[in-house]
Amino acid sequence: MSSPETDFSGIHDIDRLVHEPTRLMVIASLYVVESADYTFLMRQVGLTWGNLSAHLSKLEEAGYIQVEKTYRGKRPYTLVRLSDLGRTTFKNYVSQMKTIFNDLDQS
Amino acid sequence: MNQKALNLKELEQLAYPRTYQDGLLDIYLGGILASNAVFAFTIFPGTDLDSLQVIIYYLIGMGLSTLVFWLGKRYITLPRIGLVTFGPARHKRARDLILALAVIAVVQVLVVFLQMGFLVSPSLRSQLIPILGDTSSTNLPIAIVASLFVAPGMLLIAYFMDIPRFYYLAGVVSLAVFLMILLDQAWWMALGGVLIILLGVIQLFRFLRQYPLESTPDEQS
Repeated sequence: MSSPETDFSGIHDIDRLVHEPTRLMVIASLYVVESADYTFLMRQVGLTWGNLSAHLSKLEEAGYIQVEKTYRGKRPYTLVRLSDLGRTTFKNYVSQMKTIFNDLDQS
Repeated sequence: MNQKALNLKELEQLAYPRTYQDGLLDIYLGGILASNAVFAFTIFPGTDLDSLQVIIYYLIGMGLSTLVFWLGKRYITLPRIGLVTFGPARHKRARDLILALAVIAVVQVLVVFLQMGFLVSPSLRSQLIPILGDTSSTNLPIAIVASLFVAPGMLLIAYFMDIPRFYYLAGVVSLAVFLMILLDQAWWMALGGVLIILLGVIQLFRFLRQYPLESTPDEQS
């Protein structure tokens, strides 16, 4: 395959783990808070537990989120927070997307 | 095609009020107002209560309000909307609220001392009457000052905690205190408290309908 004449390197560099719409919603929701539990996240992004769990596992594997088990009285809570890496990655993603679409606007 | 830019600030502002949609804070504040109204009955005509009854009713009212708030948050709100901690900007607003309430409290104490001096010291009284006028013959100025005393605290809570319906509650509390003093009837303050509790209960029912219980893996484990 011949190489493209236009420079698409910006698009190639996009983090696909973050770019997926559902995970993007999860990361954006976690970005604006310090931490949240499963119930809050399910409400916030409108997902079932099974669906949310699959996305959270991928984000945890990548080191973008931290999962912490805690208790309030006798009730267990699983708190999820964006890691420093997750925050930086999301910021970079936003900046990359802005740059790409700004470039497209001018063409 | 429905296209809307992702606005992070808006996302946070939509998530935050959800923690106060349960009406429990309204019920708690209404309970405090109604409980404090018991003391008003010892000052204003309305009903005859002796000191022991006043203290017992006050403690029961305060205890019930606190218990409803605490149990409600734990067994109604948390299982429905979950647990969330907001970011540094919200913590800063909470600190700013405490600071603003402290400033208001200091100003109010100064006003009380000024008023006491006005009543006790004949020389200060004679100096201030030309400026403020002689207001001792009517309840109206006292009612206005008292309602201005209770309003700022509630308005600050509404502003710093981003709960628009608290502006309305500030109006209810101020009006209740104003009418109590103006009409010399302690029932107005109790009525204000009960009205706020009722609004909180309506808010709570709406919350229960909007957020039914959903099972999460935390509950299953």
